[in-house]
Amino acid sequence: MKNEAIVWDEQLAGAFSHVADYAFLKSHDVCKMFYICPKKLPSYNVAHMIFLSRPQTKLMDAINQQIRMEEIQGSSNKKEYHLWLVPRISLLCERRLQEHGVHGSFSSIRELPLLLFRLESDLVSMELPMCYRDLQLDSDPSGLFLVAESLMSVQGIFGLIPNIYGKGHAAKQVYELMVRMRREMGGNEPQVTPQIDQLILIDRSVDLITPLATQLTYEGLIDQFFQINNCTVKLPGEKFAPATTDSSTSEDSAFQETKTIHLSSSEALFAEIRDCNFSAVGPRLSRHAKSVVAQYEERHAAKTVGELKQFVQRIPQMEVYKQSVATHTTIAELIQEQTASGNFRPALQLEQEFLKGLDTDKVNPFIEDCIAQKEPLEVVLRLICLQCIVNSGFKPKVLEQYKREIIHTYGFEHFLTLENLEKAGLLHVQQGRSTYATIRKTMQLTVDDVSEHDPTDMSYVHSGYAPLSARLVEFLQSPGWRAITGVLQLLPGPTLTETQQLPSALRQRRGSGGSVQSGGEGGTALVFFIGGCTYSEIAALRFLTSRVDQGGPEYVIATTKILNGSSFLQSLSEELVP
Amino acid sequence: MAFISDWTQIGSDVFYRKHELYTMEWGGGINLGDFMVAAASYGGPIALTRDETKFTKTQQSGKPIIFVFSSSGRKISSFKWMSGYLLCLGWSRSEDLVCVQEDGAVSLYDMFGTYQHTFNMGQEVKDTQVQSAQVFTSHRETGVAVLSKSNRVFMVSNIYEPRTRKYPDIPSGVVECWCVIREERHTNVLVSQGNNLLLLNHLDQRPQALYPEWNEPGGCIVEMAVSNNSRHVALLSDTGKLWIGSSDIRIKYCEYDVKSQVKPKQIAWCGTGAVVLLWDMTLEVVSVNGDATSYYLDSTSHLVQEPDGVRVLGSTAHDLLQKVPLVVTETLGIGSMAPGALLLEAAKGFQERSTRANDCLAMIKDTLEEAVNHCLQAAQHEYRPQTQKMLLRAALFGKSFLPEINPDPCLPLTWNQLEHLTLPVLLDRLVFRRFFPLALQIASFLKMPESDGASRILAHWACYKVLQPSQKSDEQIAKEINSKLGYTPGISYTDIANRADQAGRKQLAIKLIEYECRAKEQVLVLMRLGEDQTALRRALQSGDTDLIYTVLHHLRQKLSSGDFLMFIRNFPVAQSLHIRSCRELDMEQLRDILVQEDDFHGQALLRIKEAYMSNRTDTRQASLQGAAELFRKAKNESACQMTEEQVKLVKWQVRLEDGQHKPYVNKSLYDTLHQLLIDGQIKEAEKLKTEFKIPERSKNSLLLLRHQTF
Repeated sequence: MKNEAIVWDEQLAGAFSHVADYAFLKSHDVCKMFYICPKKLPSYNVAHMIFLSRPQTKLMDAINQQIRMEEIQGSSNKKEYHLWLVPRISLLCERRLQEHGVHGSFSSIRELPLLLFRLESDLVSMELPMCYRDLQLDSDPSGLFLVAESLMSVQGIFGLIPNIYGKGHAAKQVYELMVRMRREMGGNEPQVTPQIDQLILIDRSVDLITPLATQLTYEGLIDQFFQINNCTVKLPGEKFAPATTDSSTSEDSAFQETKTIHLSSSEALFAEIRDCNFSAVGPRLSRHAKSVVAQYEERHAAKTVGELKQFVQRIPQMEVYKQSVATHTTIAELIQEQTASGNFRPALQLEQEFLKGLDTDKVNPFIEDCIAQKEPLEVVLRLICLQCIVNSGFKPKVLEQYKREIIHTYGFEHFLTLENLEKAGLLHVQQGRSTYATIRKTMQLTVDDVSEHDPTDMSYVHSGYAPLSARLVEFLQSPGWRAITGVLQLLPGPTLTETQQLPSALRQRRGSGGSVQSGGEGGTALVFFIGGCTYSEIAALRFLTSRVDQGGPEYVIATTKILNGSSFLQSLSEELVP
Repeated sequence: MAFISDWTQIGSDVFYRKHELYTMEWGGGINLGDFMVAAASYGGPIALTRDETKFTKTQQSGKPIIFVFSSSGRKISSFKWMSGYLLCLGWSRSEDLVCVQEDGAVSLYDMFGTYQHTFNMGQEVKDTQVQSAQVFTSHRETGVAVLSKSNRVFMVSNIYEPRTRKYPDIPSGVVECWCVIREERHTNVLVSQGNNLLLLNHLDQRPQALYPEWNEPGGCIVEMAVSNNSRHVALLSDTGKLWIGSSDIRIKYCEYDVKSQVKPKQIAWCGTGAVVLLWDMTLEVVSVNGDATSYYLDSTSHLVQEPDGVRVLGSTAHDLLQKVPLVVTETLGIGSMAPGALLLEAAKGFQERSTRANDCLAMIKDTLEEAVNHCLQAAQHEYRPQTQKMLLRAALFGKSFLPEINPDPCLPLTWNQLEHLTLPVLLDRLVFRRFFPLALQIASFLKMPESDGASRILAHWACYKVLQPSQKSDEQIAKEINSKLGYTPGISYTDIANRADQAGRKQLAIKLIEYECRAKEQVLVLMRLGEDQTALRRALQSGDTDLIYTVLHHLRQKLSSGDFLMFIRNFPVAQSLHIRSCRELDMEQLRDILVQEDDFHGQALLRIKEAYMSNRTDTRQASLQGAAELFRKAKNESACQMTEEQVKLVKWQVRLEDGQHKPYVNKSLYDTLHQLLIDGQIKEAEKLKTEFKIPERSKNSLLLLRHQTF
């Protein structure tokens, strides 16, 4: 009899690949995998069947049905059923199972506290795409509780974080939950020397501009055009056919409709270009292409047998390098195709005008044209929302006209999506004077002469616009938030500046024992985006890290999910089928 | 050599000793043969009740009485057994009395006779009735196994989380005897039936036959015993042969001829080295090597298997029979030259101011540290204070010659079982017997960490305290407990509050649970106490939505729908969470809430959602019309207008479809216009344009752009 089978909650399976891939599971006696759904499980003989699920009552209902059907088949008495809930056991789910009468069928019910999935050495994600929506549209604070729990587990490993800063309601709530959880632990605090000096909590609703702006870094563009999921991207396969090994004929590649590419910094080339502005990617790739050629040319220089042997030994590395250059050249081509086509450039130009605060108060003719041409609704909504936010809301007439045009062109079924955007604060009627001009000026959100090839300022990530969230982080270190209190008051939600008292045994190590001043050793700062962040924000923070010589801290980034304009708006939409 | 007078040699080098622990305080009048006896291991309490299968003269008629005694025979409690026919008694690891009835009901009582709870072994057991039952120690907890009269074995491996598990069927016929064998996390059952020995495993479908290797095959096994660690087993055949071997029956250690046709009353393992057989007046100890010795008893006795020995419970005395630990044999054994023994000798010599001290010390110069440790260990295994003192003195003497040695403080109470039991459990047991100050002193003497020691004892004290009647108000008692306990780790106000509640002091429980800092525990208790308002408030403060949903779920079951909605009105977050779950599961309830809240806008949006859930145009139209009216009530003119326009558009589209038999419904306004233009319906298009006030610019650009594509 085979040993174990896993029944997955489909949403978990993807994120789980960061922790344990199929090969790993296989080497640990997992021989079969299924999905949780209200259908019968294929009959399969295993000793243990493990249901891995998020704690949601709907999923419990499906599990109940599956177990019931197993019992009818009579295949249940030979198996042991286990239920593992990720990230925590839910009383509600247990009650649900009890009501169904299957609670007793499980030999064990446990929790698997996987809250943060590591994407890169400086980046973790909770993979909660609906966190912002739940909070804004349904006033459901579940996400905040999980964020606080994940921070407690981070502190369990890396020690208490002495300084906590934050902006926005969600940031404050998370902090309060952390204080509460610390009290619940009583005296059982981790006796670990703090390794993270500051925690910066950024509520997504503080900066709604950045997710709506077009990201112009290499990785940001890949995500916008092709969606990166769990560090992999699926691209049209035919483009890659010639790049694969010679043995594969063109017929084979026809079957291969999509090609899956894993994107990670373990690939040196990608690590180098991922955060570059796209206009700098071309020259870098061509330089690398030349160096590939140069490496191969070295074979002519190899005179002696010894030299030849050295060359041959290097061939596998060179092959990998060559493959990597070829892959990214193809991706860059695919991106170029997209940026050159349609309304990408005019839309980008309009967006940059909006970001500079130009003509944001009336109905924009270009957007009207886009609507008339029935451009994808996301593109239109993204521009309108961006205009609305930088204008601090529309005049009622303007908003009305936009809505009417959208309903008339795209259909009434989008009515609820528009309602949701209003509720989420992305689309609203102006109240009071526009504050964007002040914020833009103080925070230096737009920079005119930014170098895209050799950047000296983070605004290169959007070719001239610096993400507000990342600027907040930058200004916290220097000149300090005290210098920008005016702007902090204009931004929504409270500002948080707190210190956590360390256990006395751990305090001596830290000289000042209190607030971290700018300069000095810098240390490590954890930036947590509550409600998600974009690749451009990640790039901007990495840019800050790259300047550690200027005394800033090294940034580690955590987020509830990585977003882009489309996925952000998608998460807020309400699909009605006409 | 008084300290080795009770040793008996079995084979070479192996000694067993039988040491009297207590003279029973219950007096000599009790004949254990008339009773069903159950004694908890690790020196725990003893439960007795009249054995119904034996014919005896009874003082009372009717329901039997269960007596609980301490291991020294002091009566702790007694209570009348009021339920069905009692089949088996046993003790759980946490010293709860487990009573198994013939109909499969299992009830738990604490040692003071206080009822805890009851669970059932399942309907099938209830229908077929139990023929025999066993209480056993499972992987971490205590379990119960029963053999039904239909020859089926059912098992609950943890009595505190009862889940009944059925084992494969045994062929019909008389089961001679059976026992439970642990194998890591699994629990198997060994059954003897006729000439067969069967192993039941709940993963297999049918029993697996085992064949122990007998010198003369063909016997029938009438008694069996498993060692405490479940690795070894002893089988006794009807021909009086005792087979000792591994619990998987593969390895045979020895076979011993008991030379008695009378079936012993009991078989038990003495540690892992020997098996003890008990008859009315004799006790036979058979080691795994096949060597044996016997003892004579002065009364009918009962054996209690312990991990390192066996307790022999008689009418007048309570003895412990165990193998003498090796370190003791070496240190105290006659003529031993082990370092410990020499150190002991040296210490004695030193006291007598004899040169022997020096000689002996010189012999163990290099192994002095080992010697000290041996003396300490030997002391741990001794019961008599004088012997312990002597050994400790020797250790101290040796220690003074060693610069660096820091032995653990030695505890005059310890014995070998303590290692299995761990200190905290020992303290718990003292506490269960309400010896609070003694436990506290031990804890502070041993410098135990607070969470294991003092705070746990204090928590137990508090639990006990709430049960005592008092003049003080509940508020005062709660405060008093809090001031004594504070917020030290390991204190569970939940346990204390639960105890208070069980004692019927609900108000005190409510006051106490206020001090609980773990939100989950606090909320669950508050819910149970019926303090719903506070429970919900605390759940909301915790931010744990799962907890909030749990309280809401509880309230929905408890209150009428109207009351429930009124109740949660005062808690905005709870209300929005409830609305959220209604959105997914219960649209009607959602409407009720929106109506109650006079939320016309929300109702209108709900209507729109409903409109699109229907595929019928007329239903959809009606819902949208309703939505438009609700928008008007909400004073949202623009939304109202847009919705009404949509209703109008669909009317147009239906009319167009009827006239032209082409699909128009579900197209947007501009798409409809576009379709009309493509179809050459210029007139209709003009009419639509005027009706819906489409501005010139829009239409023109539309026409221009669209026509380019054609």
